[in-house]
Amino acid sequence: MKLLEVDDLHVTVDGQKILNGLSLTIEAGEVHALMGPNGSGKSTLANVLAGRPGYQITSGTIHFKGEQLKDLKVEERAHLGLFMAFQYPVEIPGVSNMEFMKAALDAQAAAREEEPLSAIEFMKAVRKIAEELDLNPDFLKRGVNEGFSGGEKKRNEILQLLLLQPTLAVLDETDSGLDIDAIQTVSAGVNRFRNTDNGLLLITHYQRLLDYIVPDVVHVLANGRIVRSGDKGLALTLEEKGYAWLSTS
Amino acid sequence: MNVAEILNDLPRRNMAWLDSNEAAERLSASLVSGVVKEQWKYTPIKGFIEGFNSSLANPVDMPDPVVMAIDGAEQPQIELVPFNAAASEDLAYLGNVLHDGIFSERYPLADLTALTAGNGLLIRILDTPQQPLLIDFSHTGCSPVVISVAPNAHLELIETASAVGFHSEFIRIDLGEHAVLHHGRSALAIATGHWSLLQVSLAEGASYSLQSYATGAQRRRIDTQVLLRGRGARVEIDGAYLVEDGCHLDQQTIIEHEAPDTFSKQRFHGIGLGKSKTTFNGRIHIHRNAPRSDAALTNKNLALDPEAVINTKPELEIYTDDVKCSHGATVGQLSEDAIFYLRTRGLSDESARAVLATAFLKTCLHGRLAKTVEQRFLEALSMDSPGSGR
Repeated sequence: MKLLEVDDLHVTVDGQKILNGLSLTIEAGEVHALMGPNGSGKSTLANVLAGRPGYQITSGTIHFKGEQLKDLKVEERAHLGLFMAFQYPVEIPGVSNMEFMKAALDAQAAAREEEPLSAIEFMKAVRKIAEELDLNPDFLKRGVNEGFSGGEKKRNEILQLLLLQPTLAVLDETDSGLDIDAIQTVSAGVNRFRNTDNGLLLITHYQRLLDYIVPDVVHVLANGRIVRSGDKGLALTLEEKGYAWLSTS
Repeated sequence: MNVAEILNDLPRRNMAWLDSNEAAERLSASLVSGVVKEQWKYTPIKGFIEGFNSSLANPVDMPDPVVMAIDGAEQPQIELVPFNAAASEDLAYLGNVLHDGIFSERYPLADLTALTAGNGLLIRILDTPQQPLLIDFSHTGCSPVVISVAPNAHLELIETASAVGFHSEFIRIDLGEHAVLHHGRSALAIATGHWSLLQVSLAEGASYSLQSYATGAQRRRIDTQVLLRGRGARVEIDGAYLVEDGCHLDQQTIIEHEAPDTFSKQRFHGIGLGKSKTTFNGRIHIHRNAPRSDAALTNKNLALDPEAVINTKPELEIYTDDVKCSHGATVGQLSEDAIFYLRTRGLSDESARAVLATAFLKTCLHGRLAKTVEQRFLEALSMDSPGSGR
């Protein structure tokens, strides 16, 4: 089943063309990695998918689970099962992590006309995931990402991923700023999320992450479009030869 | 009816605690003084005076505040004395404290409150009571209150202003040496008009913590003055306020550091919605004989609608070198990045804004009133206001 279909997508930000005819299809059960040099448009794609204001789709289409994505509000995309792990998660003092996650779960359950988790079920679920991600339970009481280290912020994104159980997760440079141990913990969390019904789009600069989360397809983005796709071997070649190799090969 | 006519119509009662002719003269002089013009720049005082007039025209039977212990039980440590029943010792005390800044050019509405009320309530805290003391200003009308807390006594005071008609009150609190007061106060009703003056005087080693919560009203002005009179006296104030569409709130705080080693810390967070008007003025005055004073004031505001008007001004006046003093005042908007983050997790735009705005106010919410206040704020934030785009 096709989860995401991006067809000939053109996007401008502040009048500047960033994506120039990007096409990409992700099937259920697949993990795709999107690599590419700085400024190639990787994060732009993530932001367009999530619906961040200021990103103008000038032509092309995006369908998520068969629905035209640009017709949906940011929160409606989340209700439909789209999730983005932020490259720079936002700090929100005064809202505890626990309150925030319960509000998110409740909002999604209400939109899907499902019963929300009881407070006890919720606490159990959150504590279990926090433990798996090696996060001190105290951090659940703290303000969302408030005073968290870079690693804690990224683990908090994965905690939300595991709690919200979306159908498609876009991880925007989740590995940046993580040490080796943290990459392993985060990757273990992401691998627990993987199943045959959901999909993942990993945006990364480095092949290293793909040692732990093995992708089915690797894409290389340059100048706003995918210039090459291949299997995991493509990431290894890029690591060895750099992006310049693409223009010469 | 103009202000002069209203003043002429004020009753001249014969009261042992107040010379009504003197009060009326002081009032007339104050109203034309430069001090009042400056102090009431953002809130026309005339509207309040008209409120007093309608209050006099329609007197109610029970203008006194409801005062009780939290469980309603009698407490031997608390003594209630109506001003008009005060014995000579109490009258002398009342004369001293009421002329210690309340009946002055700065607060003309205090004279007006006293003249209109014709009575008041003296609350003596003789020793630490078992239960917190509750005061509710639930009636239209005017209420002068004086609370004296004995040295070393500890008191928790919960004060609410729930009247929806015009009301005014002044409260003078005297903290004896090493007395401790935890004071929660809220004014959450959209009253037709409300003026409140809180003046607290601290003796050596006394400690005062205040949580002050308010919404706007058709017209609301809250004056707070803390006099750090004794060495080592300390005050900490956390305030939160929310001013809804069409409402008005003017808050003026003054901290007088009059003795060495005194400490003050104030933090106020406020939000303006719709076409609201909010004013905050925080003055810190460090006297010449108050070395090693430590004073801090923060006032942060969010204007959630383009038409919300917020004025904020910290004022520092320092007459000695060896002090620590800081202040900061801001007016801003909600972070669009934070709104987007919450929305990607499934919260609607409206809920995301309400969550962020509540969180901003919650930083300053503590104590027994916190839950009620949070609920009131949340209700206001969840409602659409015209032209808001929220």
